[in-house]
Amino acid sequence: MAEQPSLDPTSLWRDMLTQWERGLNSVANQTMGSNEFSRAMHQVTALSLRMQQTAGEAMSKSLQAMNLPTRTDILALSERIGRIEETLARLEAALPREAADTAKPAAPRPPRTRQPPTD
Amino acid sequence: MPATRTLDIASIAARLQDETERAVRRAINGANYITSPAPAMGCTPKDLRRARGPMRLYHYRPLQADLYRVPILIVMATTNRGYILDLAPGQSFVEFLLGRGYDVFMLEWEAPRDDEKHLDLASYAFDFIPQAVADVKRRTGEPDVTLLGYCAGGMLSCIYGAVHPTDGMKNLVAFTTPIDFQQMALFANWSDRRFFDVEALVDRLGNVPPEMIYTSFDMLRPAARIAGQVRLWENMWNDEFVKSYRMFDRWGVDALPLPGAYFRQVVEELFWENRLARNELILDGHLVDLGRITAPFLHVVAEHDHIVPRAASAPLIELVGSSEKQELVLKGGHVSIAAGANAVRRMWPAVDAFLAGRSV
Repeated sequence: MAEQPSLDPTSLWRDMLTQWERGLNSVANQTMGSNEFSRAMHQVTALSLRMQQTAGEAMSKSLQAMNLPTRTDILALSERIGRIEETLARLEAALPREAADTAKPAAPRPPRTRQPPTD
Repeated sequence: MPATRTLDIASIAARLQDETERAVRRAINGANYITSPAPAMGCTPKDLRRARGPMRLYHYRPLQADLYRVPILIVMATTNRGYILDLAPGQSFVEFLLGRGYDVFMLEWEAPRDDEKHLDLASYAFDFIPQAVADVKRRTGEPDVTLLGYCAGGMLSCIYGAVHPTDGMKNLVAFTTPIDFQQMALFANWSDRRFFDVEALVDRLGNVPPEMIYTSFDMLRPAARIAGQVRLWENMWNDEFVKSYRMFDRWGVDALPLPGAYFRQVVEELFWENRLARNELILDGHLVDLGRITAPFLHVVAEHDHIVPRAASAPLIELVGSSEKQELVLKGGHVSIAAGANAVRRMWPAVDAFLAGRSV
């Protein structure tokens, strides 16, 4: 005897949603797989980058006129802080192991003797 | 006899009661969803062992009284955070490995700073990974390490293993690792050299912003986000579903920027020239010949991976030179293979079965 069709409306709704999702993904993937899409996407990206550059230059000039740091100034500071952090890390790594161990005793580690279960 | 569905007054009443209860739970959980923070992730106790540039090396605290001799170093993808492998208690691959008696380290990444835009594939494969391997060896006192890489982390581990095959890599496990970039059809089309001026993009931006990364992943399945939100509303009454949705959703949008030089190399050397699949990639003067990898190798791939399709990862098993090599093809997608229900049931035990006898 064949199974009767489901009368559950939520089940029908879920099926419809899944079909819609698959259909739209499939159509969109076909469109996005075309040369035209790729060309248009990069034209938009290039335009956006140009606009960003123009806005950035205008903002930098305004900030300089107001005697305020620009993004470039902040990045230069960040770079210097990064270098100081790296120097500190190198110094820390170069400290004698004994001194580091005295400062912070390591917790005892379990033995490395484990064997795979036999079954 | 097949089950039949009958429509009677009692079943309709029961159904109505269920739906009413769900509607109430939906309203309560909906309000909670908006007002509460996302669930905490990546909470398995760990210690930071090294922070250098974008590199972060963590050591997880052991859960067993005795450990396998060979430690595991997980190498995370460069575009995403490591907590996908440590979502929550019971849903954590890291916790699973610790519970089975492995000593686990994770190499994951922070966002590169603007002055780190020069970092490239060689920086990751021949500087950060060897540094992490050396740290693991020093910390554990062991001469060898199992490398376990996820997605681009798998690719970088393979590149490292191909150039340093005798550097103590005891085993290599790679998850959903892209090798044949021509098979990633949409990404390959979007990076078509006729239209994509990657040099101008990188010169202008320095590092490639995370919005570009996760938008490109989203564009592979443009309906998925909307359908996911509809399903979330439908299942808002279900606490577990909501929690799981929030964890995966947060991880999906928590992408990392990529250093400009790294991104440019991926586009030019891998998408345009497909050099890794052809064993022709040269980094810092080293030829990356995957045939030089001799450690026992396990490749775990997802049957329905939309980010790294099966065809893009398939050549790896043939290219690797190991005499002991296995490929495990599982149902699931790029993320669910590592952290979904199928991962808990099949992938995690399979990795344990592969590594246990090879970690003593």
